[in-house]
Amino acid sequence: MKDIPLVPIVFVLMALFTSLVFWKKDKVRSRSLLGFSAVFSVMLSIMSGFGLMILTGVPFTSLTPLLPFVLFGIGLDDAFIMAGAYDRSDPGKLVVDRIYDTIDDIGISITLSAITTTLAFGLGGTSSVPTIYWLCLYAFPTISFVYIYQLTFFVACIVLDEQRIREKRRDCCTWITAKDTNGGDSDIEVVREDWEEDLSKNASSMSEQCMLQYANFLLRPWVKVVVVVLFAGLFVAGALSASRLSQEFDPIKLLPDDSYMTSYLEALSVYTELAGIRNPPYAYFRFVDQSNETVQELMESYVNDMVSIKSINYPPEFFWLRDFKAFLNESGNALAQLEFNSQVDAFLSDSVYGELYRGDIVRDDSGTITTSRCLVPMDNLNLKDVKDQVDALEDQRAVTKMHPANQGLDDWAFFSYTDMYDPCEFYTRVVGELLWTAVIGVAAVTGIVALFIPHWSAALVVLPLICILYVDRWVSCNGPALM
Amino acid sequence: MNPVTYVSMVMSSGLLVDYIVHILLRYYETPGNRKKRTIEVLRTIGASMLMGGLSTLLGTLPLALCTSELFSTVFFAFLGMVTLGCGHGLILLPVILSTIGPEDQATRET
Repeated sequence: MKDIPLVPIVFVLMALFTSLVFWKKDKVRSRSLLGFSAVFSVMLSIMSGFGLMILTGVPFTSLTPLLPFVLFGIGLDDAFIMAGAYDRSDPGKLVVDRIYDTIDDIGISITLSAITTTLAFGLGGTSSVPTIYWLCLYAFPTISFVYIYQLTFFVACIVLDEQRIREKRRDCCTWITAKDTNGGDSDIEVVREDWEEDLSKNASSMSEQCMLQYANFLLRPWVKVVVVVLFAGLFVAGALSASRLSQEFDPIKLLPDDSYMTSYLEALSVYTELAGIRNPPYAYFRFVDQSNETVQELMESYVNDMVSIKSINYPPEFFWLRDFKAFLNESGNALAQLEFNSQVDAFLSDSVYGELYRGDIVRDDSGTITTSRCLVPMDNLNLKDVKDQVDALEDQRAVTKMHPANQGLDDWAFFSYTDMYDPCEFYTRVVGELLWTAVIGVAAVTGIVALFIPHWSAALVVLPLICILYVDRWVSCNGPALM
Repeated sequence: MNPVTYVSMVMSSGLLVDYIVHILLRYYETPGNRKKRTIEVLRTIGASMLMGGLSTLLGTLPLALCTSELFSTVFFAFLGMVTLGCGHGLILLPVILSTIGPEDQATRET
């Protein structure tokens, strides 16, 4: 939540940047106000999208504050492209006709990129990881709003800005009218002549001039060879790093820098040598009559089954049922005559056992045990190795599923749990899901491109290129992680 | 690999494509032979795309200063993503198109 104040900072920063991009030396023809309106339209769409989602009650998680930053960045792309296309249109025409030309020029382009972005978040929305699912739920309408506002609000702003220019009012100080130098209405003609002159020079602005030189440089044969070699190298690096995909989960990284949990977790990792000791799972028993002898046998067999998995070497040191039986044997016949609930009363009123097990046994008003648990330390578990943890998660799940006490039950009576299972579950799902999204993404984009570009070769170019990109992005995502 | 890189991976699958699609679409709309088309594409839409990429970076820049360490990795993920997207869109794709890109049928026939 602390990062929310950064959003206005981004807003100011982006507004300054876009205004600078649209700024020109000529006081009238400069368009910094238009740049501001582009940023403002993104702000509007973020507010609309988030408002809609908060209204419908989609949870706002710790990852959601990420979204405004991302959207500010990608939302403005369309505005730049649209303003660029508008600048290239014939200034002699009416404003409405110019807008028509602009949309005709790049409308498909913008629509396509909106579709692909929406698609990406839509695919993320199929994720079974709730945080990501909710994040994509927030992103989905917001991206659509960005598209809608760019095509309505921003276009309207272009028209307003054009009116300002025609009335020769100054950018940013619209109340000041610039001095008329050319005398009256012939002015549009002058603008048009300028534009045609620019066109004949084949570059109407500095940036286009730069791009032209860049294009000429790029198309020299030796530069082409260098480029192809470089990108081939990048592809190999990407393929290599994808094959060495490392998974790590450090809970410290998710916390804000000044959280008190950070020092707690750090101290814990310094002072506890046994990796598995941090969050040992508990085996839980519920839904059963725990005074019943056969049930007690089942409980013991479940704990023994758990000990048989690879990540657990030794039987648990503290199991209330085991100590309870030992307690009964020690105290002799007097106690054996009593009924089970009274035995438990006696067991828990013992100073040592009571201290040990009071937290492990839940009893209702009549004293019957409803739920109990037993700490099962995973002593043979490497916390640094995600694969080890995933194995442990799946082993214990297999044991739990096979156990007779759980047969025929949807909601297991005996199970084990620790919060460490959550990230493990994430890892078991995430690789498959990523591959799935990548495959669907490639297929969908190729399909869309084939649909929108009426030439068979387009899909042929897009398909391998996207595959290359998807492999290469492992470098970008794994690079910082490896550093 | 963690939830945040997962999110940026999902986002990147959509965003990376944008740059390529823009260039490609423009290429097919421009008349002329391979080389002319490529130059024209870069001239008209190249600068806008570069600005778009820069603005994406600028938008995520504050994340690098964020209180949560994981958020700053998003910035680096985006840095890599924009460089990759722009790199492929503005460097590799024009090279490919100018070498083996399809010629404009209308101009070849006349």
